[in-house]
Amino acid sequence: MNETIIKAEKLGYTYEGDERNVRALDGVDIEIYRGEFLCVLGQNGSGKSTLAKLFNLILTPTDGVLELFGKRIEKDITDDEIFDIRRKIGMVFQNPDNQLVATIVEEDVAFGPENIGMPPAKIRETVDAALDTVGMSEYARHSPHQLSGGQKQRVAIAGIIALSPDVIIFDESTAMLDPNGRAEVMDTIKKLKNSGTTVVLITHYMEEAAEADRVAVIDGGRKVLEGTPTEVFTEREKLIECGLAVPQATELMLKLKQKGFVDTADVLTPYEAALAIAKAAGGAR
Amino acid sequence: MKDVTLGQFFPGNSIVHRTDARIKLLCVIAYIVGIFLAKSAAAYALVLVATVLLALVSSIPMSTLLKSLKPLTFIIIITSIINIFWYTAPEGAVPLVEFWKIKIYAGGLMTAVYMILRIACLIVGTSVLLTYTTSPIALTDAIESLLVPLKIIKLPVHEFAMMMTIALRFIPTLIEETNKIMAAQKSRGADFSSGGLTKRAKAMIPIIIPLFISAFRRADDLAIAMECRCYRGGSGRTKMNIKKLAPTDILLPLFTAAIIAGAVLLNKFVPFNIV
Repeated sequence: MNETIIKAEKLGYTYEGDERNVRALDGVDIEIYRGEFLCVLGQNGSGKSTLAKLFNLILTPTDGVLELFGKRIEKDITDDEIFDIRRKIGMVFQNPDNQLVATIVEEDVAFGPENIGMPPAKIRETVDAALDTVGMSEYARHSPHQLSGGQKQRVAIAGIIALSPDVIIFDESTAMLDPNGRAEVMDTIKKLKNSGTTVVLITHYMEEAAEADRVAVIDGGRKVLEGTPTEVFTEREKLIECGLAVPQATELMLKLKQKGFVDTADVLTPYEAALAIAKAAGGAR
Repeated sequence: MKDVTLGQFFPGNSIVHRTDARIKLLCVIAYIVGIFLAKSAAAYALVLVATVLLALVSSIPMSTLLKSLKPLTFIIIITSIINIFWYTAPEGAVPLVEFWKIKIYAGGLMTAVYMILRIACLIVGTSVLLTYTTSPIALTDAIESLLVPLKIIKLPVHEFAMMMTIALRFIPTLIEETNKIMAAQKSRGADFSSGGLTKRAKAMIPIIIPLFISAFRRADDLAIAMECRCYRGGSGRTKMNIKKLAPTDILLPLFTAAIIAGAVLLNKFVPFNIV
C-alpha cells in the first residue's frame, strides 16, 4: 500500500447550535493513500461534506484524531500551518458559480498562485498548464458567465490544479451539473488521477462511485461500508439503509416486500418489477 | 435584463483603448480641469474640437455618444432656462428681446450655450476617455494601483479593489438569479406588471427576499472557496499581469496637457467673447 496522507481515527465533529448541537460525524476511521481515487458515498446529511471540510481544515475536529501528511491536527493550529496544508489539499465545491472570483477565466485560475506569492512569469506558465489540463485553454479570455456549468466547474478545478496540491477533494462537485457537465468533470477527475493526483470524490451518484479505486459509505456520521466498488455494491440492503439512490423500481419492490406482497426485491428495472408483481399477484401469465 | 452591464465598455483597438487605464484615469481628471478652465469663446472652441477629435480617434460611434447625452436633456434645458432668464446684465446692456417682465440678453444666451457645451464635452469626453474604452476590470486594477499610496494611512486598498472585482463578477450571476426567481414567482401567479406604484413595489418583495438570501449564501460559499485557495488578504500577493507602460501611453497625457495649456493661453490672449 502507498503512503497514508490523510488518516482519521474516531474522528468526530459536533456543530454547536443555539438550541441543540448536531453531531455530524461520530467516530469515523478512514485512511487515504497517496495516488488513489477514493469515493465517499452518502445521502444528504450523512456527514460526508463535514468530513471533506475537516480534511481541508475549514473545520477543526471536535474529537478524535486527524493526521494530515503525518501532522496531527490540534485545536491550537496556527494560520500558517493551515495555509501550508491548504496548499497540499485542494477542494472543489458544489456550486461552480460560488467559487469563481475573477471576471476573466485566466485571472480566476491565477487567483490561487497570486495568493501564495508566485512570481508573475511562473503564474502565467502555471495558469496556461492548468487550463490545458482541464481542456479550457480556448476560453482563457472568456468571462465565467459565458460558460456552461461543466465548463465553469472545470475552470474551478483549474484554479485548484494551479496550486499543484497533492490531494484534491471534490465536495459534490457534480451535483449541480447536467449529465454533459457531469461527464466533463468526471473525465477531468480521471485525468487527474492518472497523472498521480490523489482524488477524494464526495458524491451520492453510484455511477461515479463505480469509477473509484475504493468506496467508503458514510451514514449518520459513521462509516458503514468500505471496500472496492464491487464489494460495496453487493451490499445492496445496507446501501438502501443508508438512503442511497437505488432504482425507483427497486425501491417500490422493497416497500411491497416490507408489506408482504412480494417475496423478492431483487429487481432493477420497471419491467422486472412488473413481472415480479404479476407473479406475486397470482401468476396470471 | 440580460444586457445590463456596469458601465458601457465598447471593446476596440484604438489608441484610447490601448492606453494604460491608470494613465486614462489621470487624463480624465486633467481633461475635466481643462474644460472648467475655458472662459473665452476661443477656449470653448478648443475644448469642443479636442472632444470631437477624441471621439473620432476612439472610433466609438457618434450615435452612441449622442445617445449618452439623452438622459441629460432635462438638466441641459433647466440650466439653459436659468442662464437665459436669470442673467444679471452689466450696466447699460440692451436686451435682445423684451416683453412683460422678461428681458433676454445676448450675454445670457452665450452663457447658456457655454453651459451646454461644457456639460456635453464633460459627458462625451469622460465616456470616451474612460468608461467606453476601458474594461471594468482594467478600471478596477487602475484604481487599485493609483490608490496604493493610501495604504500608508491604513486604507484597505486591496480589499476595496477585491470587493469591486467580486461585485463585477457577480452582477451577471445575480441578474440570472433574479430572472429565475421572477419566472418561478410568475409561474405561481405573481403579478409584477399591473396595479399602482405601491402594489408593484409590494410585488417585488417576493423577489428581493429570496435574492438576498441567496446572495448571502453565495457570499459565504465564496469566502470559504477563497480561503481554500490560500487567500489571506493583500499582503504577500503577486499579480499575474503586471501592467507596463508602452511608449504610446504618452500621447493622451500630452493631448490633455495641450488642452489645459491651450485653454489658459486662449483665455488670456484671445479673450474674445461675442458679447
